Amino acid sequence: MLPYQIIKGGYFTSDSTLMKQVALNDRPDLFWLRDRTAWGDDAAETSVESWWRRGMAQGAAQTADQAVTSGILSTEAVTTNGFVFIDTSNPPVFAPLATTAIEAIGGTFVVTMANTGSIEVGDYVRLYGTTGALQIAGYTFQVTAVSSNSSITLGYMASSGITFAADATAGSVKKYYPNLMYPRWSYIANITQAVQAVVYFTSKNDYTPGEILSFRVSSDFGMEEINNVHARVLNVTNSSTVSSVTLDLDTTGYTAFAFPTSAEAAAGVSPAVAVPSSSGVIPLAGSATQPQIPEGMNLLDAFDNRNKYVMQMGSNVITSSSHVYDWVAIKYDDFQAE
Amino acid sequence: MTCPLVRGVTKMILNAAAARLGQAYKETSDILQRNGLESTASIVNCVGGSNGDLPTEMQVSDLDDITAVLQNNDGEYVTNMIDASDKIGTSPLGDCYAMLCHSRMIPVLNNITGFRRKFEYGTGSINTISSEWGGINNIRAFQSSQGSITPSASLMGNDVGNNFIVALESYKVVFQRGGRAKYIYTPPGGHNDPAHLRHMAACQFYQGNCINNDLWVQNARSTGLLGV
Repeated sequence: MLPYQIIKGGYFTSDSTLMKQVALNDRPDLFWLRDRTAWGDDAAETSVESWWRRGMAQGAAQTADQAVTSGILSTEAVTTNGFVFIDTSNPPVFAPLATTAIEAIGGTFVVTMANTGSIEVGDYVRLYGTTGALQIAGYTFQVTAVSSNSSITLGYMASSGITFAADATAGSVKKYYPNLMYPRWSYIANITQAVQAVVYFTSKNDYTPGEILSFRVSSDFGMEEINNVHARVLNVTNSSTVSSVTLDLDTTGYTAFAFPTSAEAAAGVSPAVAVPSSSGVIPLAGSATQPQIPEGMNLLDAFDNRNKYVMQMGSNVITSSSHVYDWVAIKYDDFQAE
Repeated sequence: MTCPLVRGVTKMILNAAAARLGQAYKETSDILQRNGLESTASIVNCVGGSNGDLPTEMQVSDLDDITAVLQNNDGEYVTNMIDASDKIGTSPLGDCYAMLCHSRMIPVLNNITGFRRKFEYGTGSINTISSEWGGINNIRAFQSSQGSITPSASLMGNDVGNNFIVALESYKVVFQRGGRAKYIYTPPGGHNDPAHLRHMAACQFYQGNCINNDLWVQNARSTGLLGV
């Protein structure tokens, strides 16, 4: 039995995403959130105060709305975009959602969905049963844009420059939370033929300059010359739409990287992936020949368990941007669910 | 606690608590290692099966392919050959790599053509541990409920079993000096317990996981798992 305690608390300023994750050091029994900026300001405010108790559904929240002038509070209950508690080593499971089209010929990788569920920008999704584009069935992607109940965009895939011969005409999209053990292997979206090859990934990567990567690319993906090759990372890009590393590896003479066709994938292939291998000398600002001064080995790639407890707050409890929100996570001395 | 009876009961309770914590410690340790392998091992889809999914259910051709890959990467076998014997229903097994599976892989393993349960080894199941399920050609399979599964990760959306096939010294676990399992007991009257109502116990350990050679660990992904 753990003693009653306020396990963590704090405040943050909301941004335009109206979504916030805070890391916790234990499972809370009660999570409480209050809009400090709007509280008592005589302006109407939806969800000026919200809370979540253990046993409530994921995404749910009980909230209080503030009336204009009088400041009178009225109660409300929301079922989506409220609070989601996540243990990243044992994360919640989400139901699959249907897609009717994935644009791959033009390489935009916009996934048409009549119901986008709780998917938000930055979430990870896994695709499967992608009829017509089975080469990405089973792949995972990070979402870069959401048009509610219309589409999501797999921007990291799109920015890689890869295209397919056909669009997907059906399939399933399943949101998930990745395990955060570090370092991690990554799906490869594309590899350029260049003196310093650039490898693109389907989601943000956590590689670091100086780290040695190894590649598993079968002949099904064209550039089989890179299979089992080890190369040092010179530069890392992790923007809102681009995830890539520049390598100290000349691929100009290699076969072009290309995904297999849908039919070839259905017949059986293994995905092209990059796996973390070891530590290398840290380069100087992307230079393949000059080491960082003073010279040093990259030790940032050491194995690390980055799993954590997270409370995610959605747009039904963070209703205004640029507001200061106070939050408290509480664990009871003796929680009784009867 | 001067009364022998009270002292004895307390000792029994603490022993039982230590046993449970010991199990929790080792399971946590295994889970950390499993997650480490899951995040870093190269992935290979099984394609030798016939269930129409990708990966398919594991077949002997998939295991032979991985054996060839590991041999080509100069990975050492983990165990030596098991000799043949004159016992009915037994057969020899070659030098082997170890395959670490989830228990839900058991039906798949049993359906692999030529798979030998460990009681069919030439020496019987002597010198095997309870988690060992059997072997074929150059792979010995070990299963655990704490094995690795990726949900809905196949082409058709089925769960995928991550089967780590490892060569000798392909990965290691580093325990810091003094960081091996520590049992911490706090008697009543500890922090936040002014009325002396609560015993508190915990275990603590430091552990570092590491892959020695990324070419020596392969994740053979398979479908066909036992449903949940």
